[in-house]
Amino acid sequence: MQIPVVRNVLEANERLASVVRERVKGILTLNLISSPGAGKTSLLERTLTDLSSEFRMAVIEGDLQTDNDARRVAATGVQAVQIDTDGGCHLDANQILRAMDHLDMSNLDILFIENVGNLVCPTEFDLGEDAKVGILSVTEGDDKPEKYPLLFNLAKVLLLNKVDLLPYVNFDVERAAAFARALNKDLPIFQISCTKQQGLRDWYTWLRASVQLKKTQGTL
Amino acid sequence: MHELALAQGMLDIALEELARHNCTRLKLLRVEVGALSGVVCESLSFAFTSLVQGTVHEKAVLDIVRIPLKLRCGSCQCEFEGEHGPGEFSACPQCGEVLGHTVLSGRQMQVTWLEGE
Repeated sequence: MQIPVVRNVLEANERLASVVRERVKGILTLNLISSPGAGKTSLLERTLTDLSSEFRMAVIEGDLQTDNDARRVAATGVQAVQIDTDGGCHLDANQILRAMDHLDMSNLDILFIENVGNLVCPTEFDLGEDAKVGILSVTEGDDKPEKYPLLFNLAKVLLLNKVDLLPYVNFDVERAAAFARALNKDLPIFQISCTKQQGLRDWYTWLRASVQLKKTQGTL
Repeated sequence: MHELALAQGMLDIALEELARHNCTRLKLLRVEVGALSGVVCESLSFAFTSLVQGTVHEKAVLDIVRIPLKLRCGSCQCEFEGEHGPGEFSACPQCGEVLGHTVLSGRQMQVTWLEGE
């Protein structure tokens, strides 16, 4: 028998992502995606420390193995829950739903989801977030937006991390920015250094505006 | 790397549709995979084969149809097939614009056709 159908392969995940979306009403939910070592955890440590008096925040940590990142985040005093993907290369919406059961979601302003370090797979899976935040470090090479266009197509903001190392690496900021914006013309790109605490003000301004947008309009 | 999860999603959909049509054995599963989806077709085939091995669906054929990236130019609005790769990132063939194209198709991953008995 021949059966014509049109069904999205990821429909099961997308159904669960809608359930997540219902549960994070009024809470800015950000899906942090980058290669391993680009600085997702450092960015979180900095942001959680600097904005702790301003916002109520929580973190869902995805990790292949170990709870190193969750412990670093928890050390800032912000509630964090770890998802051990046990080798899995991305987070899915079902894992986020289960993780949320372990968080006090009342009165939260921002929920950060630190995805597994990987530029390909996490991009495909909607976690019910308001925005994907791309993080690219200058030590990775300026051709990443060319090689992995989907993340840069879908991200609502791009953080270029470790810019204090620019004098020592062969990284053309203009080139990376041009390719990142090829399929995403208005993508905001902030140049930051988490270790030297440079450029974070623009990121924080973006966060404040986004928290307001989520609370007033329900979306970004 | 996520091809196993995708293959499982495809198979779940296929088996659900088969049951709805009173079929018990999958013969062919056709999926459309967009060029921008980051899927490695060989890995997808391998994952699918691994999943059906030792089941009644073991002989099922996975037919992957690759859907090219279609873009609309951010400047002159003409529609064209995009490519990506070092040095050839989707400049508009008409006006040469590189920035701000809209993705018309090439993101999809969907099951489009099944055959069973």
